[in-house]
Amino acid sequence: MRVTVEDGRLTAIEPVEANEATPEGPCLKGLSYVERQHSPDRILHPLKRQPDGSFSRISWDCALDEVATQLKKIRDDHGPQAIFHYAASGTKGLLNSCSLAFWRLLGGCTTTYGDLCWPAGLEATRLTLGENKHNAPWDLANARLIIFWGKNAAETNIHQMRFVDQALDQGARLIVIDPRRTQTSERAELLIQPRPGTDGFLALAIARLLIEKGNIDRGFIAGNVHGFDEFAAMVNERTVAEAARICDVPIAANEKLAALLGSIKPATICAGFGMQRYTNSGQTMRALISLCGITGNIGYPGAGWVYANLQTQVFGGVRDPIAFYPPDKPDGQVRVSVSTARLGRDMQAQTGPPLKFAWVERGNPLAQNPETHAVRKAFRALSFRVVVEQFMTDTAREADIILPAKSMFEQTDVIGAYWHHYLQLRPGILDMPGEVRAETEIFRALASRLDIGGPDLDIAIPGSGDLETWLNRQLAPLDLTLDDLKDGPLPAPGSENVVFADRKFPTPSGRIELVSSEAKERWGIDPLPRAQLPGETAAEVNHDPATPLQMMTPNTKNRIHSQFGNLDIIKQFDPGPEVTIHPNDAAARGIEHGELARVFNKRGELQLPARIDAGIRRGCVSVTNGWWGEQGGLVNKLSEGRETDVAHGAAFHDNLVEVKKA
Amino acid sequence: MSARPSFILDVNKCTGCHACAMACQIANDLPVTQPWREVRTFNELHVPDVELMHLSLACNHCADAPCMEQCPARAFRRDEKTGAVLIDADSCIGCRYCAWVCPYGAPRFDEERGVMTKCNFCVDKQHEGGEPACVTSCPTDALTWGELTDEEHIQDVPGFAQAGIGPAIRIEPLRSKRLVPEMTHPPAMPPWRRLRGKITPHITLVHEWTLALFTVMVPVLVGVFTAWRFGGAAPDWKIFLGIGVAGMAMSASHLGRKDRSWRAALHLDESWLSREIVLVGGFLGVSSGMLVFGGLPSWLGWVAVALGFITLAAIDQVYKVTLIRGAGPLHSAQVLGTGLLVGAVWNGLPLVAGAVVLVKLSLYLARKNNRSRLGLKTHPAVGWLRVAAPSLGMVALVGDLPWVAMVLILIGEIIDRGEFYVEVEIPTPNSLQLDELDARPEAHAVFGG
Repeated sequence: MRVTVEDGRLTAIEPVEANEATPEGPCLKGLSYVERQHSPDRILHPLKRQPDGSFSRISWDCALDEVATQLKKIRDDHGPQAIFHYAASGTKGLLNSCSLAFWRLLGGCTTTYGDLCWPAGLEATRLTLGENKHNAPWDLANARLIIFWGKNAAETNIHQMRFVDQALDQGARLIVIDPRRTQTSERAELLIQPRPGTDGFLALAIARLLIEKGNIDRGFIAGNVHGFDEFAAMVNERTVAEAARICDVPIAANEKLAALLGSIKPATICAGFGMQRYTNSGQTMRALISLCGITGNIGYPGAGWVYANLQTQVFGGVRDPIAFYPPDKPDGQVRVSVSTARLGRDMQAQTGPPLKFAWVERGNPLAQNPETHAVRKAFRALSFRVVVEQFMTDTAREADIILPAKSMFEQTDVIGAYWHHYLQLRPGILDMPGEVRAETEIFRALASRLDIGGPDLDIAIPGSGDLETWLNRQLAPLDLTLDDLKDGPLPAPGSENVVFADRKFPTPSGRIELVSSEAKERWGIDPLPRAQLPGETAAEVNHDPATPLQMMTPNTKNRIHSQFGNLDIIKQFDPGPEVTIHPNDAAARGIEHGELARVFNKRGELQLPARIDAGIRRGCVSVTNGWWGEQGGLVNKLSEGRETDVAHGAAFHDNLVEVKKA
Repeated sequence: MSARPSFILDVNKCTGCHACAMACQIANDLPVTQPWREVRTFNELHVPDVELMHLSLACNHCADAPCMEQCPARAFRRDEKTGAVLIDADSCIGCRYCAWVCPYGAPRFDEERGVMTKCNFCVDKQHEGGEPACVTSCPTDALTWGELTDEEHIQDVPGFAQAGIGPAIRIEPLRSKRLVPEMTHPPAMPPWRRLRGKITPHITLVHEWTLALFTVMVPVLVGVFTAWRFGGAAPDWKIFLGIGVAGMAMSASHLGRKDRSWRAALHLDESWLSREIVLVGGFLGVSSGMLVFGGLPSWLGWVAVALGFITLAAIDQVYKVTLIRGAGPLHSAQVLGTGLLVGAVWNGLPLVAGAVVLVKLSLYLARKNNRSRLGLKTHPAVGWLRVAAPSLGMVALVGDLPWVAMVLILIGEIIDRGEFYVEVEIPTPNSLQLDELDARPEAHAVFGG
């Protein structure tokens, strides 16, 4: 985006036409930076917790001296691995690598593995296609059939909707699979509303129908697909009627979807992230991708599997989810032993040494990680906590010392993406307000107090004058310099508009793997994408009378996770959390529209106004995630910390709740 | 008319993301409580088989802009180059009448400054060759902008009033093939009627009670003065003038900028509100003069009578833009009827008064009956009082208790006028969307458990 600065203030944010994926305009979160950047609520000075729980301003020297003293003490008393480093997906950029590099210079630390966001889908894609990449965003306009599977792009990827519309203008068909009638499904001719967590059953039923009717691409399969015969035998294990019962969708809907997918090419399946946050997600996502494989919808314009495009992740050497896994051989310095999915319980379970000190940056685990109560307990059990933040989040409130964090406009960096394939320069154009310091400066100031220095430090963390040199050093292996990026977004080296056009799949067999021995070896799952019910939902299928509603916690267009929801300019559109419930479910509980309802299970409770909406599937309720505690909508009070079947993702969407009138 | 800058909204592409509304606030430095552009959603609770669509609307800079035409203070002007309708904050008296006459909900009251504000079409950007901020920021290309002729200004979508005032906007309707998705889950009816309660009314009795009293006081004075000219008893000029001055003060008290009240007389050639204000002043002046100075020529009295009834007609004309559900073109709280009734009672004419009461109560009961059928609140206790008071008043009039009759008649009139302010609505895009939904048979479907 292009920003206008007048007298040191952001006054306008406008689109950059050169980015072909987003030429029309930023989303409302992007626009809201005009308030966010200059918000009176921004933390501008180091703060220290007082005995009464309030925070008082302290000087940088005081803050850094205290943090350094604590670090030294804990390192000396317990070893560096008693220091816990937690970072999530806030401000992005190459400089984010500095923090872990700092802990290595200190001697080490403990950190997390896995990820809250997307790893099961990434791993499913890697196991099946070999690499996480997809066609350029604008290629979707070439599709003749688009299936949005568990994805509400209108809220979570709004720029994709432009290409959907272009495709529809040219006569494309659109099917949406989602338990909710969404803004995206308004464009669809058919909305299939399966029971959440059962998408794998639906996909295999479609596969069975495609194979039975011969609506598959035999030529493509023969040349490019590994394990088709076993796959075909496996899908015959369950009838379409049985699958339809499990998914709770009409057989006719299965047949219609199969008929379209079997007869229209090219077809693209755009999958969302929500459905890969169940315990069966790896298998679910593999089942979905297999539909692209057997219909020959990979490697052509307008065809493919659109999940995550990691073509800009050219810096680390890996662009697959392996980076999220604990290393095969621990390096003795950084202990990768806390599952992000089970953050609270794993933090408390660490021994030899137990965790004593936490450093949190770019994240708000008190709001966003499963099992809020366990996460809070784990943080409170530590002897010292430092949170680097821009705002007083639920996590910042747990800190002993809060250090003010820079905004993305205050330090130059280079960013990639996970939908389009542009590398972009993000120039530092604003002075840091108040006493805000960049994380690089914070780490260097701590380093000097901890007697860390020399060339190792300069390589790990640039000094204030060396920033451009440091960034250029990262870009050098790609034959790029910052100057190359100054004119606008640049496609990442080697990126392709149509992926797998050469039919080369970097899997063990070199083909699309419907049978994956790696899946079995690495994750202990069935080499075939056999469908299973996720744990809590299985109880629902059997009609557990105690907790019969499935709670969905989707993202909203108004926030990115727990960011932006504190701004007035956002709150005007989304003033507070509410629980969306089907009219019949509300009537059965005597709940009226707008009335306060208790949403609860054995893990926790929320009290929220009910929104009675006929667009949600009966048996489901929905509360958007990302609310803060003070707003009354910490949805993870109700979720449980468990991992997905593959890739250490968080299976925190599989939650049964009951709703009663408050 | 030749082509002029116009908004183009393609509801097929709009996802209701609010980027346009936010970009407008940012570009114009507006507080969040005072948006110039709003996104209004049709069918947000998902009535089955009814489409969902968003209407992003600001000011449509109409060719025949009623805000500009009806502003009593001439606070509006048109930008020649772009056709933009602009409010001059230094001229606005804060009477809010432009918000009443605009069917698109564009003018907003700025509590802090006491004046109205609204979308200015980003004229400054346009003069520099740019486009409005909302258009620049639409991420889906749904809101664009171009030079369109009147023939191209088509807007056939729920919530957009067809007022014939030349709005500079083209709305591409939903393409039928993507009207509503076929859903696989059993349908149910959401409580969409509840959404009416979310609409902030433009007019409320709590806010406009001074206007309610003013619009009873003026017809009382007109009625009494006219009765006197027809041979009735002369009213006490001090009380007469006192009521008149109090009424004027009350009507001025709701202005955002009382210091600029005088500007209300500036737009006699077009604005009914301006005419009303000047006519009230004229009637009061001449009629009080007649009462105070006995020797004035009698034709001047007839001039005052004429002025009085034209004033009452003007008041009713001012409220013509409002909507009272259940009422036809005539309704019982119109001030012309009040004037006639009070005059007849003053002169002890039971037949004339009885006829007016009969017409008024018939209209009143018909409206209440209609509102009850529409599922709207009817306040029956108040209704009985409104019917009983003038009925007893007629008995008192026949029984030669003129003052009792007058008090009872006035109680009925005050109640009716008060209820008018409770029931009256200004149609807005939101209310029109709900009216449209109400008119769809799908919104009244009954589904099995």
